[in-house]
Amino acid sequence: MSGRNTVTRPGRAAGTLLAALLVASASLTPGCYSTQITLLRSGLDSLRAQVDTMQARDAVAYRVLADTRSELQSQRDLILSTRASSGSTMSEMFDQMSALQGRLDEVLHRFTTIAERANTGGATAAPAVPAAAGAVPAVPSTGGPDPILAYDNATRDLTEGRYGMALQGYREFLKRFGTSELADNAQYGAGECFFAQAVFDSASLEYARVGEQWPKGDRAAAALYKLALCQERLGRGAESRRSLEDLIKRFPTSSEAGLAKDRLGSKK
Amino acid sequence: MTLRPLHRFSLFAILALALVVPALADDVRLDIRSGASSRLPLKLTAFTPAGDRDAGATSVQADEVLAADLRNSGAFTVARAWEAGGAAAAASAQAEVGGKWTQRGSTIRLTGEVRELPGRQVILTKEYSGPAARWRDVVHRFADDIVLQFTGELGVSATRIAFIVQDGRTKELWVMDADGHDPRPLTADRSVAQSPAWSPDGSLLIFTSYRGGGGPQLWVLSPEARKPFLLSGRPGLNTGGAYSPDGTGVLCTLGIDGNAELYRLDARGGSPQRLTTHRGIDTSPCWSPTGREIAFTSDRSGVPQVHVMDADGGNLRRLTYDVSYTDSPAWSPRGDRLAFVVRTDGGFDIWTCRSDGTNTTRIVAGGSNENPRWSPDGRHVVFSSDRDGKRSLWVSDLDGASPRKLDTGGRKAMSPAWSPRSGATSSR
Repeated sequence: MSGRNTVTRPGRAAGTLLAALLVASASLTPGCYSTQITLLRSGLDSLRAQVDTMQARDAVAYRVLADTRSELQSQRDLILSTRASSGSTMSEMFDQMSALQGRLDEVLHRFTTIAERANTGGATAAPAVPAAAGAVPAVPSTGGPDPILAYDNATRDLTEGRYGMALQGYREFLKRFGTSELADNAQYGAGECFFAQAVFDSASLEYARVGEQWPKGDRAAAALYKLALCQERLGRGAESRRSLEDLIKRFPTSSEAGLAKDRLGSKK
Repeated sequence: MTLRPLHRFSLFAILALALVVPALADDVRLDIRSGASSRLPLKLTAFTPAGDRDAGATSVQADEVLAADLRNSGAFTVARAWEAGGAAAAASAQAEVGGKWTQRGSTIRLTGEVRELPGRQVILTKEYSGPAARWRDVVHRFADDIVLQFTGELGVSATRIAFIVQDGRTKELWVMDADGHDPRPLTADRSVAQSPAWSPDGSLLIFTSYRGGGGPQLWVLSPEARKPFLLSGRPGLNTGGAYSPDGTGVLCTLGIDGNAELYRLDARGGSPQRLTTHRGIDTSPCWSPTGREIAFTSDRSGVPQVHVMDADGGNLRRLTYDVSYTDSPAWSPRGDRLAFVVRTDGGFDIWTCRSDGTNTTRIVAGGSNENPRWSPDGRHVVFSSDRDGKRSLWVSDLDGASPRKLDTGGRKAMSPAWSPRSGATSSR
């Protein structure tokens, strides 16, 4: 047994040392593992955070991409619709420009005519008086606006279907040259501007003014006849009949009186 | 990033103006209303034929038809590049016209092209097609578009002219293309036809005829159907029919009261409304383009004179006092002028004046010239004349140049009426 003890003693010391080392290492090893695990966990958390960040960024990028795609689509639609409408829009623009060019030409022509007359001090031969007027203006030439020219321009607008411009021209004429011998013609012309556009109530007012202000003028019979036509077209048959009868009574030799008789005959 | 409508319009307007303004600045726009002889020099290159064997032959003819159309438009001088010396003549040309002429079976296709010079930038390219039998119509359409490109108004090559042909004692109604090609009869009544006038859409012709066996009556026919129907056969005179600009009414002279008076009928010849009541003779009525006024001839002042009145008959006045014995009025398509004839010692001259009767101007003299009628663009007047010895049809381009004669095959032709554009070609 002693031999076993002799042998045992150094072995015991070594065992103790080993145990101590083991204990020490055991005491040290768990600390080392814990640190690594902590580090690993930390790394893992970091990775997770990065993945989360990337996912968030992906979501943002996806939304941006979707928005961009939508924008491209709308731009494409816009281009297609623009291309489709460009032809007609260009055509409309050309039409408008042509019309404006025509108006410009006309205004320039008028301006040139007026300038020429001004330069010659009104010495140029005045255009012939409109046939129906058969009279010269009562307003003497003072180097200012020419009543005949103003009247002619308005009448040209009327004849060529520019009723708005014609009406404006006649009204301007009446305002400036209300005592001219062409004034009743201008008043009649104002009625024509409305009559041509089938605005019979306004036309009847204008025609009535001819009879009120120039009852013996050379447009009185024609204006009364047109007044009767307006009244007829407005459904005021009795008034129309009275106007026609008045016309026959006041202007029995006029051509309108013959027409009035025809209309009264057909109305019976 | 989507543009708001206003911004979108502004952007487009700027782009459009950027395109248009330089184009207009470089472009040569002709004033088609002035009547001035400001003709644009054009260079014509021969069409390139393709397709069937016949294409070469028809393309050569098409070249000549296009050249004639453009020259007759009054807007251009034309240099044919295919002629000897053509290249030199084209040196001053401001635009070049050409294209591809393809004939396959019974169809013609023309790809027309206009390039500005010297840059040779394409300013017009367009395709036209039609039946080979009507290949001239295809060329006329291209010519009219070229006129449109440079003047802003469509040309009149693809229109027609109706007229009367006298053969012995008979007078028949005929029609031909505006360049005088293909004259063909529309009636074969062996009677007397007079005074044709087109409906506003060009689908019908109204004319006076004795074909009923009695006095003059108003008849209407379609140039395609050629079967006339009676519009007015009232007792006495029924003459001088003229469709209103909206096609709903017809002006004419009727003698139902024993005297020749002007009446307005509806488009079927009914509901006569008397417009004149004077014992003088009132004839040759025509409408203003707006339909608001009527010009006609009346001898109420002793000799025939053109008068104007409102469409309902009132407000009558003599057109002009500058000249005497005037007849056969025709209102220009723009409404700014009237053409009419004035008697001379040996016949008649053709004059025009403003719609208010001022600015009377003689435009045709020499021989006896009658029945002036305006082209739809107002740039030409067709009339009948015996200026070269035999009565035929002539056209004045209103630019001071001598009138040109229309070839009616040597027939005695008179009373022309120029069709509106819309009914000019059925294949259009």
